[in-house]
Amino acid sequence: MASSTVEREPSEFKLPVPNLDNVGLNCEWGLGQQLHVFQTQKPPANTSDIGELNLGVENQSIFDIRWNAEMHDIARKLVNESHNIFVMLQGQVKSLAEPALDAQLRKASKHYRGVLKACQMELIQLAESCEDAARKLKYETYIQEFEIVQLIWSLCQIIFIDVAPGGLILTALLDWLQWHFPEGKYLAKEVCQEEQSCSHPKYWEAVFRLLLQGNTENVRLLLSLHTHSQADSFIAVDELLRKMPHWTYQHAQSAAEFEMKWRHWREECIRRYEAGEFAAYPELEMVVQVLCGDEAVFKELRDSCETWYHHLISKLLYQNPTVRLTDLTFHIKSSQAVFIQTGLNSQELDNILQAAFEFDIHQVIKDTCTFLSNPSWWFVAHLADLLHHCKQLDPQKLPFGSNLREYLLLEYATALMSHESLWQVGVDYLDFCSIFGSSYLESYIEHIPLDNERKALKVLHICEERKLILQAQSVCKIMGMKCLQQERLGSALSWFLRSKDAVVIKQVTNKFLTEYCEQGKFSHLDLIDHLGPSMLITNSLTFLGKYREFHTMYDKGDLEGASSLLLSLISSRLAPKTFWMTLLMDALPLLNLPKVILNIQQTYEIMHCLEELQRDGTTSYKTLSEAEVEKAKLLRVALKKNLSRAIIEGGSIKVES
Amino acid sequence: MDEYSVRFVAKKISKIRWRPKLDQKGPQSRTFATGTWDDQNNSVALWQILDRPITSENGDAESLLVHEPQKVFETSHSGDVMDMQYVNHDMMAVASSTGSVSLLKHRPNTEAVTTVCTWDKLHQFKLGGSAPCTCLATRDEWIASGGEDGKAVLLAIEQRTPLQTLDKVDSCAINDLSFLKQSEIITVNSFGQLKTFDIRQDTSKESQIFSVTETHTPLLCVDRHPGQPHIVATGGDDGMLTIWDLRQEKFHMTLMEAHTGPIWEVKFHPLYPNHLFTCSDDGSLWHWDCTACASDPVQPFMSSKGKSYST
Repeated sequence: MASSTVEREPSEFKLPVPNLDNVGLNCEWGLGQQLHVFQTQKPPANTSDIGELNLGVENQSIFDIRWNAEMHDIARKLVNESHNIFVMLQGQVKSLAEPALDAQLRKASKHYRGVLKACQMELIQLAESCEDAARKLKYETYIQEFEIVQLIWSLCQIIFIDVAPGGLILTALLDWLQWHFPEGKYLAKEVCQEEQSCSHPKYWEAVFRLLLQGNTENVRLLLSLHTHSQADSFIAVDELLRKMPHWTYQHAQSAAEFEMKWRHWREECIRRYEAGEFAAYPELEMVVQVLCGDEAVFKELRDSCETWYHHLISKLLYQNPTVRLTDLTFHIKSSQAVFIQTGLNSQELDNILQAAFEFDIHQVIKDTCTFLSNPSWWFVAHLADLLHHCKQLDPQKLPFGSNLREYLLLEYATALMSHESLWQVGVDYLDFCSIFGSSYLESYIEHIPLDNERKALKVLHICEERKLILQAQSVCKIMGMKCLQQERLGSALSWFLRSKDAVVIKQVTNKFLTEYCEQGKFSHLDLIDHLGPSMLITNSLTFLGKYREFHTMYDKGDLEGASSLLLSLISSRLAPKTFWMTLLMDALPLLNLPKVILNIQQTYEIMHCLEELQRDGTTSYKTLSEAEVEKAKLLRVALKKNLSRAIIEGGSIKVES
Repeated sequence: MDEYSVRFVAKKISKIRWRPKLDQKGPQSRTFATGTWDDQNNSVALWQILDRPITSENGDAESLLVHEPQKVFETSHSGDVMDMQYVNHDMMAVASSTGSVSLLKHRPNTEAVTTVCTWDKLHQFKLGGSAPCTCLATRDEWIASGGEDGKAVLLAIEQRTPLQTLDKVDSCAINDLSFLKQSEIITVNSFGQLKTFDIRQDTSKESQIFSVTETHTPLLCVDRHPGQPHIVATGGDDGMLTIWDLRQEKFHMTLMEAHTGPIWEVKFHPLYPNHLFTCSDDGSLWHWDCTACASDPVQPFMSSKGKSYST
């Protein structure tokens, strides 16, 4: 995170806390771009002392600090929709080979731009219908930002992604101009609606703007509306415009052929201009000067170009229409020089576009990162991903371990993970970061607040899908502990069973047993009776299930079965010591039955257990109440009686046999 | 309808419901409602399907109609929308993760809905603190709600106080519930159990408990066969679809492996009950054709994550 933010101004926040000598601030990472800041002793105390931390401040607060987390509704739509394109593209990258993939990459780039445009249109609509001035202004900044992003993206598409065959790119660049500088078209429309078009104050401006974008068709249309359109000069210009050769991909003409045609045409322009055919109409003469590629006239028309890059492309159209992509760099300086005094355009944007024209994609990405505010990561991450797949990015590792694509994707995913709702989208982006993605996910997923069971299940599923076993267990454990604290033992058990963690399950079963000791009956029977094989997960659960089974058997009158189950429970020593007394007391009614059920060995076993409990000083035996001590005495008596009866019976059986 | 129309929304949608028709023979409903979850400001929104003619690409004179959903109304909702159910043509009950249930009513001649009534804190944990209300079921003028606190509450749309609170429906969270008959409800829980209750009788005791598997995988949703109330379908956290026959003591269910993620919702088609729909966290919506009682999914439709579909 640090390397790109160093270039930004650090921002400063003041926390509303008293400034004390021995108190400092400490922080804990939250979810992505979030810090929990709290006061702590200075210097940091031993962790073991934290319990006695005395800051001299009451009502300590924890501050929740976030950055770049704000996102408006339209941006969220953009995030969701582009996420779709991104995921689809990653699949295609895996499954498709070169030529088919190239087509898909171009398509994806167009899709991204389409989504951007759609979002921008929606913002424009919102801004128009918005009455609150402050909000309107906000919308307008967003619109501006979207416009800039599109401007850069479409230029990058022309230069890096949608590379034209033969390297002739002027047609593509003209499209770019027409798309992003629609002023000329708007003016022309306005002018056309006028009754007498040519008297409109902006008539000529419209003509020049269209001309500079190579839109000769519409220039001819405008000129035909002029009152003098039947004059010879006008007809001559019209002819020149009509004859102007245009390079298109469709026509099967070679670049050389086109260039020859064009030179021929230009010679004709120059010839007729020098013959003074248009001298009667100064504006018309200027039009022809443009057609001739006259250097001076382009300087004069600077304002109709608005920016140096418009100027650059317009000039190349009439001076060097077969310019190659690689030669563009040589022409930048002169166009920039024309604009140098105006200082109208933002320096940063100029630098970014210049870097693109100069093929320096890394500079483009770097500058864009710092230039655009939130959600800047959206743009650079997606663009870098596309360029990476187009093999335009240096696949080389950056000093901190991953390549540029992954670095930017991680940043973007981090921003998403910090969002209270978009974290699910962030997960998908992390999936496609092969080097650090999973470790980032591991640390983020643990910070996602688990508000309710449904959300917990979603998070759990994300972990399970990605084999993040530890994190999955931690989700179950957190949910279970929450339930345990609220004394919702059933839910706690259901969560702990999923994590299969014996220690915490024991906590729940002990609570069940305590409850039984206190109330003499079990709650949560719907769970305990239906444990099934889950019972075997841990000893404590086995005991609980079997103990309950003992009661069911006893209630049903299956005394033999009940007593042998009880005995095995006693001898297995699975029960917590605190429960032994209860367990032993359960034997009491079985001992007092008219029929002897427990034989000698079994009686000894119970006596043994009772002895053990009594001898064990640490257990709760000493803390037993009077009544219970009394009961223990009763048990002894019963045991003695039973033993004697068993010996008699046992003996008699022996004799018989 | 072969073509589909995609519309991206800014918030995550948890539930989506068609507004019922005014009368059975009326035209197909063109309004539906959505609820969002996991956001700072959740909302309930109403959408209308608008037909927009477009000319097909090959320049055919015959124009096609695209059905585009258009958001016509949105109102904020406190807490996640956990469930939504229409009580009748005009009224819709919405369950919130704050434990409350609210009743929204379509205002005549406008596209708006307003809150008629809110039952606050219907679901609460034993030690205090609100419990998310996870599910709703409606029958005539009654609404039943279930919560993570394991309680079910019976409400009538014209009464402030609940008709009946079933305290001990479940030891863990109730994930979905449905009316079997007027007086019988069925619930599914996080312990993989399906329970039926007769609300006229002693409500502290369920009449039947069924478990799917021995692993206690949570059951997330349940729906009753519209014609045969003893047949219900449930969907589990493991993506399994189960069809139950509640009359038979043994062999009472058919398990079908379906989705790769949790099934969030299962619905029988109200008029053609041999058709079943399930939607899952894995992003797909499946249409099951049980006409031949086969388990083949007819066609897996792709849909975006977290969306649900209802008939």
